[in-house]
Amino acid sequence: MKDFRERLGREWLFWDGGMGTLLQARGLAGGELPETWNLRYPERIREIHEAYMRAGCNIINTNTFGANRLKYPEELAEIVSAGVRIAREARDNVYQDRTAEQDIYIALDIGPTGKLLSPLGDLPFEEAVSIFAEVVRAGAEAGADLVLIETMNDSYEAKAAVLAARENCSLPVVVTTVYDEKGKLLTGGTPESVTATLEGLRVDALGVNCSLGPRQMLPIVQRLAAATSIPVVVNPNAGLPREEGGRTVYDMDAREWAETMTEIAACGVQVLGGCCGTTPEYLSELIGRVRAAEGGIPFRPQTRKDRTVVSSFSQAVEIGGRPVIIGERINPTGKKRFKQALRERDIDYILAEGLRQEDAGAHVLDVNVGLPEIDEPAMMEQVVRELQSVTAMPLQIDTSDPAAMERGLRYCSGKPLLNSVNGKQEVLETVLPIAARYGAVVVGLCLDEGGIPDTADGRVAIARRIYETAERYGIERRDVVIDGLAMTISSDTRSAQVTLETLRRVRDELGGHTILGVSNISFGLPQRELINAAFLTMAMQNGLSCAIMNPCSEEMMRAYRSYCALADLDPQCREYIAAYANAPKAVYGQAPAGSSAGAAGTAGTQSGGAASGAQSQGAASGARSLGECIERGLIGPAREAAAAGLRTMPGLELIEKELIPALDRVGRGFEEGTLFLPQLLMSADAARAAFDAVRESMADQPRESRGTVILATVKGDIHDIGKNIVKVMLENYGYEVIDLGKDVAPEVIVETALEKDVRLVGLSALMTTTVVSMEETIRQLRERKPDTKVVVGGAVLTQEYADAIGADCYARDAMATVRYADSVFGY
Amino acid sequence: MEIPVREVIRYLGYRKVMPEEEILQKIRDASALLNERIRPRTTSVRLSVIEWDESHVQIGGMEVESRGLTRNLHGCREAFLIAATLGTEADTLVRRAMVQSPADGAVMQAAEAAMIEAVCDGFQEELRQQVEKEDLCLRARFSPGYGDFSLEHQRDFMRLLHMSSSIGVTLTDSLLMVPTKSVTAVIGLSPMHEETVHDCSACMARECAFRRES
Repeated sequence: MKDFRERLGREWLFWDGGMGTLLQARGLAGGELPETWNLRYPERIREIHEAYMRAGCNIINTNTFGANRLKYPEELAEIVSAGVRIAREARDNVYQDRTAEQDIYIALDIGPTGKLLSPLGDLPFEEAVSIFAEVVRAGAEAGADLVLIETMNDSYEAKAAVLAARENCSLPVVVTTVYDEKGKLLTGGTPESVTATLEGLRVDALGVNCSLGPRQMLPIVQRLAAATSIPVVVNPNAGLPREEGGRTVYDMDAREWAETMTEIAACGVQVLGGCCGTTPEYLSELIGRVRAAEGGIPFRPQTRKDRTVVSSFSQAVEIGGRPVIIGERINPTGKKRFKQALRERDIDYILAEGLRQEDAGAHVLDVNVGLPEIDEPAMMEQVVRELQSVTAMPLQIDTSDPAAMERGLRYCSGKPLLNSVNGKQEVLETVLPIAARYGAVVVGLCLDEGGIPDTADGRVAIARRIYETAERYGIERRDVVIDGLAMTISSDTRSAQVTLETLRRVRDELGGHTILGVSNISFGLPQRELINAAFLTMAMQNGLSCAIMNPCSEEMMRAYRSYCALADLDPQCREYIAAYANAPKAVYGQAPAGSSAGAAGTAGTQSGGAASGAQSQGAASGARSLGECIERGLIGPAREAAAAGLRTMPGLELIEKELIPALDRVGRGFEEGTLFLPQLLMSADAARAAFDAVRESMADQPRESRGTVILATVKGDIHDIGKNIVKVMLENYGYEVIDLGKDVAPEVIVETALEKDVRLVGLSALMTTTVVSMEETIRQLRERKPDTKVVVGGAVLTQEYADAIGADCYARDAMATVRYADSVFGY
Repeated sequence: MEIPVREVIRYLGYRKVMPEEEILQKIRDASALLNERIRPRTTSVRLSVIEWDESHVQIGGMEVESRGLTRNLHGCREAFLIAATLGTEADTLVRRAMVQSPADGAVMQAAEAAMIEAVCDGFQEELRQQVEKEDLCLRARFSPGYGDFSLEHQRDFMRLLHMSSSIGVTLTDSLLMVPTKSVTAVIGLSPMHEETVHDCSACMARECAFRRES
């Protein structure tokens, strides 16, 4: 038998078709699990395989689509190996009676788990990997020839399955996903984003199956074929489904289906087959037409696309066209407040920093969370996961720690940038294998053991070496982006010219893409924005593909948008006009507040709103007191009032005399029913802005706190809005909150309470089914830390319910929690 | 799709008070964003109903012990099982708004709650038009978790509606649906022409903050 990889993509291959309808015709009852038939009626399954083989199919799926330990906790291994064995027996039979004309390959069929991965759902990524791994091991051992991961509607789950296959066997891996008629996965992925992710993971072929008929699939197939450099597989249903007498029937017969499939065959596709509703007859019709001596469809191998693409679970960003903006603000370097957030595991602060950059116009987010005193790999993993739950922007994993790199890449739902390698042999040998394993576009810094060359010649030579070494590790040239290194002109005024020449030559001589940390150019100079913006324009003119910069800096964005308009990269100047048509004229000689590259935390801190809106708010604030700003929920003015107050009063006094009393007035209004939740939260927002100003002024001093409170949404529950609201309120009242997140096991809560000796734990649960975990958490706390008080809240809870599960307090809302905390800590 | 402002306000906890313009603007912004970004998905299956006794009813392959549901389906020979969802992006949008500003997060959450109800109403109207020709009308929606209709039956909905592959709704081990803005319900097909109002009177959670006053 010829190796599957030798044939895939070099000649027509035909996958088999539907299994479910054929099983039903043989007596499978509704609700009966199809895979159980591998043990009960192997001959019926074998019969179906043989029919497909005789129809001319070369690839046969084992009857294992739904086989995983969630559905088969007992006999999984038997079911999977029986599935493979039956298919192999069928193959032996048709080889023996010579009804097969060609080699036949057995594909271990793996379908989705039916669970949504965390953080959106409750299935941890590694758990998903392990579920798939079990199937892969059993199937590979039983002698499957390849692995098919199919009907995937979440590219993150597909990634888990691919890793499981790669890490547990050496078989070829093919992945097909399910798109709707708009060309989207249920979780938002597009043909382009899925292609980038799967090509990065080095699958052997990719494609589309199920959900649609061939006619609806055509535009999706065209997009896949335009995006990918590897073979495309198309396995559609027998048209669109409808219910008929309690059964699902499809609207195309075998001839019509096969006819439409020949159109698809001509679209840059290499493997064809069927899915629900198709039978051996459909496949036979199709294979006859495609292979016909006259009027058949000539085979065309996939064409290479020389494109550099990074992606998230749903967004693909191409590098090499319009310059890509990589937001640099998730980085502790030189930022006291950010370092504090890392130390306190204040993930929301980090997420907000990311979202602000997205709103300001970033295309990719750089993620650098390295700080000597924290566990960087763990933090990288958490920040990557959490960012993916709030933004669909692709990420750039930025670290020099190989363990943090690996964690970042593994849990990234897409194909990220990896920042960085350089010309040092040791670094290349450590980092490139990691990048190759998970698929990333690698940033290569033009420096090596000899330091940073001060000529473009030297830098280009290193770039060349990085390209060559990367290729040896299987990383194509298109997946390397060269950092020409921006060095400050304050120490050597030639340095910008060297960098610019490097950019030009990487583009012209090496045909490569480039990246720069733009603001380094002005280090040590006054008014850095002026130099940075001018340099950004020059760099883009010299071929810069990616700018690592602060998109919240208006100066930089002006340079970017102007360049794009001038360089014919902004059709009809649409983006330029959208950004500036209604903006107030820039005032020069007066840098926008807090927008210098080194300033911490203040740039663009208005949340989400347009800059102009915040300015007018600020202007109107005039002499408003801090208390008034908080009561009225004015964020910008509250920050300004706090800053002004700090000039005459120490931070703590300001908090005690102005902030807390204002919050109290709002809180009372809420309790009395004259104020409602949104107003309470707007005030909380304004107070938070004021707090930030105060905290910045005392970032070096230990914080005064009323006490420490643990908050968690209990095990099994994933609703955290209520808990998050309580957190905001407690923090504003000066409590330190350890937020353990959602779906938190009782043990974790108890351990944390013991370790940090916490006197108050707040638990949230939304459903009756999860109040059980709340009760269990309280039981364990009582047993191991009896002096800790427990306050509970959530939609289904009542005072009686809270009493029944042994809580100390039932809080009907966030203010009630604050009041209880005050009583526990004596305020 | 029109997201009813009145409902959003109700979910935000306002009782008979009109919020100030600032909050109303937040509601309009959230609704506009949801309409731009969210594509609701729905699915249904029509099954036969057998009423065994006053607290046991069978709907296709789902056997239920519940007085409330049995009463709701009394006299129906068939019922729809329906499921609707706003999808994963709806959860992302709330989390995102929450991180940027808790007030926006609360508004987004309320707007989505109102939106999923509006989606169900629209879907129910489609189904009503479908069965009108057969001279049937629809009862009020009845969901797992209402009264004594156990959440355990979410598993039946998952199985009978193939919810994870058809509309992307999955179930956690603790029987919560994710994406969280998802609804499942039974809708009886009644041969009688009767006035049906969807209200809170069937639900026993009398303390519920969102209970509509009838």
